[in-house]
Amino acid sequence: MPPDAIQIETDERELLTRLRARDDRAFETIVREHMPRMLAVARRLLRNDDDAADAVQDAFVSAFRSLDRFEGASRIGTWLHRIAVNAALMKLRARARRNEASIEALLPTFQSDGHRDNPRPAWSTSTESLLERAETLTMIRAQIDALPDDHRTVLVLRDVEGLDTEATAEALGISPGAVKTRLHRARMALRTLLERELAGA
Amino acid sequence: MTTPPTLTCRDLIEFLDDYVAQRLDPATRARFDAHLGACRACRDYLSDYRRTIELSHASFAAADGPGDGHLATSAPSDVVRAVLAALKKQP
Repeated sequence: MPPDAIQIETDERELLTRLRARDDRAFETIVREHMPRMLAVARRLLRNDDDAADAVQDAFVSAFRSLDRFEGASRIGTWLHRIAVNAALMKLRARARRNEASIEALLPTFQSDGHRDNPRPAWSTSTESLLERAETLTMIRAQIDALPDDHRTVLVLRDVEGLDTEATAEALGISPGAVKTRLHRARMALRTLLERELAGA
Repeated sequence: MTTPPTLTCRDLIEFLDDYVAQRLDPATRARFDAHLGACRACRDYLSDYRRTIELSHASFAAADGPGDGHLATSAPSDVVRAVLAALKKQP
């Protein structure tokens, strides 16, 4: 193990001991250090700052209640991130479902011989130049937000947060097969939405 | 030996995620590559599909950086206070 990793392990173990002893300073340290990333994922899932702050608060409370069960098998940050995802998803499920358009209309369609209907040329603007413009980034996030929740959550956890299929399936309480199908459909739908925006860009 | 049926654009797009993630067996991958070599529309679709994945990731990664008020890198003090107060209330 490299010296840095040993140092991190020692620091985390010491922090954990202080947290279990209900050391106020240790609480504050961990809240300040890990909240930004937890808030970011909660905002991505909930699309609302107040709900995200509530979810993060729920996550911290639930994390500290289960401190004794935290084995230290993963890093504290990874553990807290997973709890924040779960808290945000719970809030999302509790929230009234938005009137969601079906994703079907955004999927590619085909002729009877298997050729795609109305294929368009690939986007001409390079990824680099698209990412240079703040308004393009905002537009992309808005298009992701426009996806139906059951597909959007999978895309956010897999393609944005980088969770693997199994972790995503576990967080959402669905099968790995369903994660795979929804992710592919979400990407195709998002491609359609981006194509509309990027046409002529 | 029977010749495998020709791969259509519909077949290719249905399994595009497996192609992108390199989960296809070599024989199937070769059939995908052969189709892509001959079909401009599918090459374009693949390119946009790959870029959709990159853009999803990058749009939020950029928002996490400094200079964007929406996804700040620091912990907002009111939320920190609320969380610490909630933790203090725990038995």
